[in-house]
This record gives sequence, structure tokens and C-alpha cells, in this order.
Amino acid sequence: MAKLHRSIDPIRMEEAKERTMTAVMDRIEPKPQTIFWRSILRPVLIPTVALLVILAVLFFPDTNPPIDDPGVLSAYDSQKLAELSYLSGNFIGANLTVSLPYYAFLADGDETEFEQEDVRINFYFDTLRVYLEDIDFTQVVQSEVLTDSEFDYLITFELHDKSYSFYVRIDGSDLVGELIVGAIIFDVTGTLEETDTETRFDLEAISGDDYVRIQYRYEVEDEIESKYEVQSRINGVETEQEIKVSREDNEEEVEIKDGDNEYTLKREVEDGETIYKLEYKINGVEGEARIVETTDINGNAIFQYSVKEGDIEKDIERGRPHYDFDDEDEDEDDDNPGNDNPGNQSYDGSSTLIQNSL
Amino acid sequence: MDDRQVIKQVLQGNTDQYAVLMDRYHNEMFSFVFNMVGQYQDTEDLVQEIFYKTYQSLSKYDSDKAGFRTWLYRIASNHTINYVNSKYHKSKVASEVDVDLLQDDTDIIEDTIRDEQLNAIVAAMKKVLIKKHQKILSLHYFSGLTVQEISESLDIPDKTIYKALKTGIEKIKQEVTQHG
Repeated sequence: MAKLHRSIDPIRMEEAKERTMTAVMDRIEPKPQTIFWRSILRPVLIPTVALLVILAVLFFPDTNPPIDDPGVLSAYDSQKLAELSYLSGNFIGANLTVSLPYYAFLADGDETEFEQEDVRINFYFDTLRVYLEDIDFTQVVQSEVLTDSEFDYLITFELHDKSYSFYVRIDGSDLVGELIVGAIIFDVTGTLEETDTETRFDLEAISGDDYVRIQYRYEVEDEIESKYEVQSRINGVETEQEIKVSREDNEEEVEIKDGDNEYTLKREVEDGETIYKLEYKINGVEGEARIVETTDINGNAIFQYSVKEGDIEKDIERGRPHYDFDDEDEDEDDDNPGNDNPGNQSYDGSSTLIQNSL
Repeated sequence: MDDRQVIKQVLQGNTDQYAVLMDRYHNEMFSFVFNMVGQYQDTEDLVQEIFYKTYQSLSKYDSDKAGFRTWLYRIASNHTINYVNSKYHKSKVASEVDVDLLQDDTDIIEDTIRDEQLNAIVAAMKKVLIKKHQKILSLHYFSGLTVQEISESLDIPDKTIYKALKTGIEKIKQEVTQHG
């Protein structure tokens, strides 16, 4: 008997026992020759079955499966998967669509290194700050079973007011699918493996000569650490990024390595106000920035960066990153009065100059 | 049949026998996880995962090193603490903790305490302890394991367990006193 214990309802515990034994035995199945494959298959099933069943529970409570359905996995797993889908999709999409203009010609004499990279930093902040907040990733992912398709499942999610459709099929220990971003179709292959202390997920999305490869590692030791290595070649431009999300002693931080540049993003509370802090090293120059989110008179999100770099201190404002999709139905969207969410527009404020370099 | 014989059968392909182990240890695992998590549904999910994970790792189990029960606790404590430490577990505000509940002697009187107090202790553990110490303290307070069994479960010397208990309890007391 535990030394400190809560009062437990014995009937509920017995009911849970029955469901647990049924669910686990159903997952095991008495097929000795497939034990190895099933142990690999299970993680592969997670992004599909969990998203299908649990998210169905979350989003459509009226269609709940029976509570002892063996396909029901933990909310914890579904969260991890939704998180993975979010970030993977974001980077695949962003490598295609984020406008990365050059500002060098706008140099004002005391230009900071920050400004050389501010659009990219703005994208990182917009995408990765979710890791510093209590975001429920399952709110961004939905899924459905496909009955008349070469794929088993369709996972959809909205990022920056654009839809991503991920058709996926499980093939042994591998995952095969198609990711549709705007008008571009990526062929996706992936493998997912899990050990006691580590989850590994390798994903490759290819479209013609373009590709995005993401290696995901989730490790649990004294700190919880998720690491993403993203390699891409889009329109002949190759990039490599490494993103590490760690949590230790109840503090979370996101570290980004982009080529030789490094960024660390943290959230802090100062005088009751939440602020984000960014420490960076760009082209060998170190600096830091405080970031505050506000909105302009039109309700568009504005990020205010108070940058301190050497002797230079300046405030820089940026709207949310511009996600410029090669979308065939763009005109149709424009005509849709319900589709005027600020995040779907290029911010046109004087402090934000967006040029499409892709 | 003892645990070792059951495990041998499971590994030989008689997977139905795994139900025997679950039947034997379910309630103990449920109680341990529930003490830490405090929610029935989360506990059920976690216990399912623990038993499934244990099954997946069964071929790696070495009965010469630890009994199945203590090995199961190792997996259970890992899995549960990972969940408690994740952002998906909502920590409760530390409040109204009776610090006298926190003792490091092995003869502490079993006590059923209010949910809020346990929530606060778990939240304080999460906040001030490294994971290794979280495991030690959670097994000490919320499982039925003795210090010797915790030592076996985590493969850590008794002496280190006692030391971790002492320093861990001090840290938690300090935390709940400051913020309680």
C-alpha cells in the first residue's frame, strides 16, 4: 500500500481493469511471428488511429466510440501526434511559402544583424512560440477514415489560415502518403520507431526536384527534449535547420540553428506581463530582443521587437509572416467574404515590407 | 505460476498469459498512477500504455536483476512522470500542504489525504526536483515499494535513495512553504 494515497472508487478501478486488459490484449494479439512488426507498427498506427479515434472523440462527442474500443489511445499520444503534424506541416509549408525578402538595400547606417534575418526570425517566432504556451495541438488537427481510396486516412489541419491535407496509408512499419499544400502535392514517406527513452520519426516529402526532410527525435531523460532536423531544397535553394524544444525544471525553451546562426526563444513573466525573449547569434554577432505581440487598428497581429545588439538599440515592428501559396483557387478565396482573416493577408503596414522571393 | 514462469510462456508465444500479469498487478499500478495523476480517465490511459509498453519490452526483462513487480514500477514511474512533466498535464496550484505528511522514514503511517494536497505535492515535485529524484520520491510515497525495492526498481543504491529522499523532501517543503 502506498504511504500517501488518494481515495479510489474500487468499482471504477475494477471497470478500468476490465477495459485495460481487453484493450491491451487486443493490441497484443496472439501472433508470435508478428510481435516484432507490431512493436514497430504501433507507433506508426499512432498518427493514424489515434488521430482518427481520439480526435473524433474530442471534436465529435456525439460519435464517441465505445469506451473500451481498443483503438482508443491516450490523449497524451494524440497530443504528441498533433504536435508533430503541426510542426512538420508548418515547416514543409513554410519552406514553400514564407516570403524571405532582402532588406540590405534598406540599410539605415546602424543596421543590426537582426534586420538581415528579421523575416526569418519572425517566422520562427510565429511558428515556434506555441511551444512556450499551453497550446492544445489537437485543436489544429482533424482526421477521417477513407473507405474508397488508396489511402487509409485523411488528416487535415489549418495553418495560417491555409489547409493542409495529408492522405496516409500504413504499409508495414512505414508510412506512405501525399501532402497537399496549396496546389503542390508532395509524395511523403516516413518511418516511426519508439524505444523506452526515445521516439524517432523520419519524414521525407518530395515534389519534383524539391524536397523537405524532417528527422524528429523525442528523448526523455532528466529533461524532455524534442529535436527536429529539417533539410530542404526548394527551387534549388538548400537549407538546413535544427530546432530543439526542451523542458527542464518547469522551464521551456526553443533553440533554433539555421546554418551558422543560432536563436533561443524563451517566455518570461515580468511585472505580471508575459514577454518573449530572443537571444541570437547572427553572422557571429550576438544580440537579444524582447518581443511583444500587439494588434494594429485593423486587428492584425503585430510583433514588436526591441532589439539590443552591441551599442545599437532599436524597435522593429513586423506583421505576421506572409504565407504566399501558389493556390489555384486564390481568386475564389478572395471573393469569399468569410475568408478575410488577417493571417491570410499580406500585412501592408509601413513597417512591414513583404516581397515574394520564391 | 510465478511471474517468471508466466513471462516465459508469454515470450514463447502464449501471449494470452500476459493477462495473468495484468490481472495480478493492475490495481497496484492503477493506484500508483492515480495517486500521482488524480484523474480516472488519465490514469486508465496511462496504465494501458504502461502495460502495453511493458509487453513490448518483455524480451528485455532480466529476472536476475529485478522482480517483475519492481521492473513494472520502473516503467510505470517513467511513463507517469513523463506525462506529469509534459505540458498536457495541468499542474495544480500548490496550496494547503501539510508538510508533516512529508517524511523520509520508512515507517510513515499510511494515510489517505485530500486530493488537493496530493496535487500540490506532485506539482511541487515537478517544479523543484530533477527527474531521477521525482521517480524516487513518487515511488516512495505513492507506491507500495520499500526503499530496498525502489533501489532494485531504479538500479540505484539504497544510500542514494535515502539521500535523495532527504534532499527532495527538504526542497518540496521549502517550495510549499514559500508558495503555499
